[in-house]
Amino acid sequence: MTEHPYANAPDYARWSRAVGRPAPADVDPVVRLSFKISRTDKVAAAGSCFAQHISRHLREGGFSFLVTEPAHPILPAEVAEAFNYGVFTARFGNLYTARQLLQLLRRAYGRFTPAEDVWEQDGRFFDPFRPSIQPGGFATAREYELDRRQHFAAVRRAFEEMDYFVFTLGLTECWVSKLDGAAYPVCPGTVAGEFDPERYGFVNFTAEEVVADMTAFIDELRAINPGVRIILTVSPVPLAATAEDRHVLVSTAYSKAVLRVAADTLTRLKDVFYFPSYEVITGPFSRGAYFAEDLRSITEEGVGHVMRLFFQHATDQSEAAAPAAAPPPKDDFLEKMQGVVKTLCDEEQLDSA
Amino acid sequence: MFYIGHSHIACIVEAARTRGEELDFINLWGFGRFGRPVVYEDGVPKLHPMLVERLHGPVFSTLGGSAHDVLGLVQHPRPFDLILPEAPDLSLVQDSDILPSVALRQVMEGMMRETLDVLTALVKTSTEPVYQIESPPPYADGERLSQLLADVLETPVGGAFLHPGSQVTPDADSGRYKVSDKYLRYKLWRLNSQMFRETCEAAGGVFVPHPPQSVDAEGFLKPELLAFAGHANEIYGAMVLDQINALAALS
Repeated sequence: MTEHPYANAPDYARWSRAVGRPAPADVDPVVRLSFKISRTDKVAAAGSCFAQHISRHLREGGFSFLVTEPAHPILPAEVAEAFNYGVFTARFGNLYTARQLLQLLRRAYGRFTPAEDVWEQDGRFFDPFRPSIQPGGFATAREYELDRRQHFAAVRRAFEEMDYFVFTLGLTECWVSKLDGAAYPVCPGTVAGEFDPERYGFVNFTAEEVVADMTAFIDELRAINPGVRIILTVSPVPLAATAEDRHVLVSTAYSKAVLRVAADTLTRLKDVFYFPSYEVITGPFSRGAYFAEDLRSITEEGVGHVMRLFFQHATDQSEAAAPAAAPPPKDDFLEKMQGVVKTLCDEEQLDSA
Repeated sequence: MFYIGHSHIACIVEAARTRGEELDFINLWGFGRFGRPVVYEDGVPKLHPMLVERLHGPVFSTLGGSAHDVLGLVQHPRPFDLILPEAPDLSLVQDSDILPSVALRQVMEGMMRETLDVLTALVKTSTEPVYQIESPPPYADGERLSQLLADVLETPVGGAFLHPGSQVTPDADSGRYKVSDKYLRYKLWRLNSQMFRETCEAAGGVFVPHPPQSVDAEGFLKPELLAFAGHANEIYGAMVLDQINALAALS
């Protein structure tokens, strides 16, 4: 009998050996990656909420996580976090769809200006494309406009300086402007703005559309930064809600399938890679352990498994022994100025005694 | 009448003395030896018993009034600015990070938390009206302020707050501490005033704005009202005293 293709298949190609048998923490769906991120490579990250985990771990793992819109040191950590500094490379907010990502690049370079680019509500101003970026919205139109200008400058710097771009594809369902097709991260009226069926329409992107948007993005990004390498992941976080008239589980399966197919298709482009964080989280070997009680949020154990494999396969481990860069010195400006002002106030007491 | 505050009480006390009056006041800068001016019971600030005992008549407070100087008197090595909601068209420091005004307000509230709670507790405890006096407006001339800073900070006491590597360092060229742009200082002062106004009024107190005759056309403290070390002087204090006496006559 002639040998068949499965006769000498490697273990990773056999479910029983690669998924069914190993301990959950030992399952490793990464077979080969043809890149290694060094500690000096500038890594940028954006995408859906799952991408926030990747950003955090890259930063904590001592890699050169690129942040082009850092919090000002005068803002304490809790204030900076509340205002979404440092969550991603710039204050993008969540970018759930490929269409949003393409749109962001074009907006940052002045190639697309949405017809509706501010929502005013109860005297506050909201960015329709980053409605949660500023708690309570911007206080004035001028504050919003300057913040956006500052943000776009940071976005351009990110695109121009990054060596690697990790993008997590999150959704296929999207609400868009009927005026010009501008894509919103969330349905208008849910976080800010007001829903109007005359102005906004629902789309559920197909794999072909996601591939087309991502391909256009990659082409335009490479025109700016020819050497950038792109790592795609698919968010394992299920849809919070679906606008399709069907069960959310069915819609979730569709979205994730589309995004997974699109990601796979895109890896046929030069220097575009896929990292299987989706498989690590959703694979049956963990028996649901990587989902929290709400069956949507991802547990830290699951994120840890993903990032352990990421660092193992995608980063240059030969530099692991190098000492981590010293943390930047603590900004002591406020502390010192409190001392200065107290001295001035003490002097005032002496003078008036 | 009872007066309570921090350093900005000094110019009012001086003005009163010049008029032959001795005010019943307490400057909380020196209160530390008695404990904290407020204690928290189930998260609710309660005035220290010693302060409760002192309350009588209408109360005039000059609490706070330094948060804006801590943030903005000396230019930060990474310049920042903000858009003031009540005056969004004021000029901006060139090449500065524009920070959300709400975020800077939160920074100030963090710094002033106890003082704001003292004010709240004061208003809630007093059986008489409580008036929060706005801190003096900022002074425009950064050069003069820079010299005043140098006069204070180049002393053993002042210099102790500064050290090589500190973010608060003299300008490399002039050797002086670089005072922030006047409009930034103005904006931060307005944020500080807004914070105290809202806290005072939420508790049921009355906020008393600065004397209108104390400022120039742009809203900066007139030169003749500046004391040493960046505070307002006795002449300004007299203007505030006139406001206080008018309010006391009404209540």
